[in-house]
Amino acid sequence: MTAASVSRGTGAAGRRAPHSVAVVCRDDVGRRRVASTLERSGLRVAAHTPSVAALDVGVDELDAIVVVLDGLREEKSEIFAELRACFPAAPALATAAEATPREIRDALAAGADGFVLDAQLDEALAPTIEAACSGQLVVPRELRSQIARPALSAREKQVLGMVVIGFTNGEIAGKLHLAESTVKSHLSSIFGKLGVRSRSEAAELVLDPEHGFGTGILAISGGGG
Amino acid sequence: MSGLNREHAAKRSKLLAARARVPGHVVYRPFATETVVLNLETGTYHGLNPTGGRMLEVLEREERVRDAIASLADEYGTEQSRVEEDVCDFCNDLLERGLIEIHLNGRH
Repeated sequence: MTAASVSRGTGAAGRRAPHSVAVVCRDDVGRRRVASTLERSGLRVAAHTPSVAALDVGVDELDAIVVVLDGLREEKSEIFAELRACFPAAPALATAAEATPREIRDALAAGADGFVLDAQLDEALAPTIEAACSGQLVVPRELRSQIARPALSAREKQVLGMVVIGFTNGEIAGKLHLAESTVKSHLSSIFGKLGVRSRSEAAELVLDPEHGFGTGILAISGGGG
Repeated sequence: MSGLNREHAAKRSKLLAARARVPGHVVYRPFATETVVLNLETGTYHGLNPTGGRMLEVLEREERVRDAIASLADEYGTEQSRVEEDVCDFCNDLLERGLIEIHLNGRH
């Protein structure tokens, strides 16, 4: 089988299976673990490096790139942007031991074509690479609710909206004629659905149209934000 | 004065004598660069520039739209006729979006 570049987002006709993959991972143990998983799946590891800059491979030599997010979370946006710029034809996948919904959304927004949890590397990494090489975006099924816009009740949307514009629990309770404990209970449910831990994270998630959900998440009767 | 102008003048006169209030399903909060208005019934956000934000505050505070215009003209040192034009357009815009209610003679 000869090495060839794979175009992203085009039809699968005439496309061959992925063959050559690079691994970007900060620590040596993680790099080797992913590399051996790839090799067991019959894929060739063209390079494994701690950074994109150290990836000394020709632009046409890679079919896909796997980025291990553990240890690289802070730089993930830059990493995927750099990969897109340097290897535009090779899909980039992210893996991590665990990730918050926000981290996964950020990785996808930054240009990742798929995400695989560490626990599923053996069975899912190679198929995910193959699907990504066919132009698909692939995430674990159990993360569906975290990637999709969470379903908030009308009351939760009202509470969230008021949180976003800076109302305290007491003010929200007064405006909506609720007990403060009820507002807290709504907030707890909202935080769980959004995968956030604080009011400021929730507000950020709503107000950031690029990486968050945007104010449209608050629409109650079909209106956008 | 044409029929259309008479109708416009009558509407304007009614609005000036009315009381503008933010309904219960609308909340707003002024920030440094804008006032964010949230319609809790629809979940829609609206942003007002600082002048719009100030107009809304004064409209809520004053008894009638006419009083709000006088107060804003005084505050901004602008001719009342010009402020009247701006405030009436602003009220009609907010009314269309369901962000204020107009109470005529104390009735909605």
